[in-house]
Amino acid sequence: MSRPVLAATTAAPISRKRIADYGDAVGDHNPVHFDVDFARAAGLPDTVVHGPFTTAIVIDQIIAQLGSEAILNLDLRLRGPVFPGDALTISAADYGVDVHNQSGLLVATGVTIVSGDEDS
Amino acid sequence: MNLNTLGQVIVDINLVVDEAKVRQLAAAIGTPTAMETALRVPFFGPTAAGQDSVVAALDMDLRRALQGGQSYEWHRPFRLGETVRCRVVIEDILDKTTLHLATVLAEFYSTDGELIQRQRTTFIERALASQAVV
Repeated sequence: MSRPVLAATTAAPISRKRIADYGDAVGDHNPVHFDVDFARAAGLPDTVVHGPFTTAIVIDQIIAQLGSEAILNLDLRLRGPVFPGDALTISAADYGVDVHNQSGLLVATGVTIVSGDEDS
Repeated sequence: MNLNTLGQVIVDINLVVDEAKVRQLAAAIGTPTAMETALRVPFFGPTAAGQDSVVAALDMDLRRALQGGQSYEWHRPFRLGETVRCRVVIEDILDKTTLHLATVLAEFYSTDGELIQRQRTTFIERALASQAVV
């Protein structure tokens, strides 16, 4: 079986409401995700999206294309902050996936193992 | 960051995969496949049990901390309503003088002892300026 091909797709912009909903769902109320003043005091221009929420969005884009049973492993390196309003584009890379924001900045890279890899 | 926490078990508890929580997480993801995704990215673990327990155990300063990465090894999705054992341990600590890194391993097992998922989260904390080597 050959490795399935992932087409580049852009997820919906990440609104502050979705960030708040995610924080409520997982019980993560770190102020760096909600409090702009706190984020600025930490040297950031704005609050940042939870890393696991970014990861979940990447996983969801993969599942949408390949199906939920196809993805076996994901090792995602967060390479830059993701901010409210960012729209992430997930595209295929030799090792798995690249994740860029709407400005073309690489914000994450992921090594994936999907079904089919174990046969190649 | 407390660098003397290597091997410390932060959480070892049984949890119920609560449908309302899964649906809340799916709503935040907000796509047609969100429910399938929400059954693979737990609402507990290093993010939730997680964020509070890990921050406290590692004594991280949130103003200097960020998440560097996350990995998942899936054996099957969670099932709504099932009870799972969640075990979270500090697997690795690295002191790079200007940065401290901690890898937290979370494993989820069924009540039969079947591994459902293994998850690793890497936290990075910048050292205090006074500790930094310039």
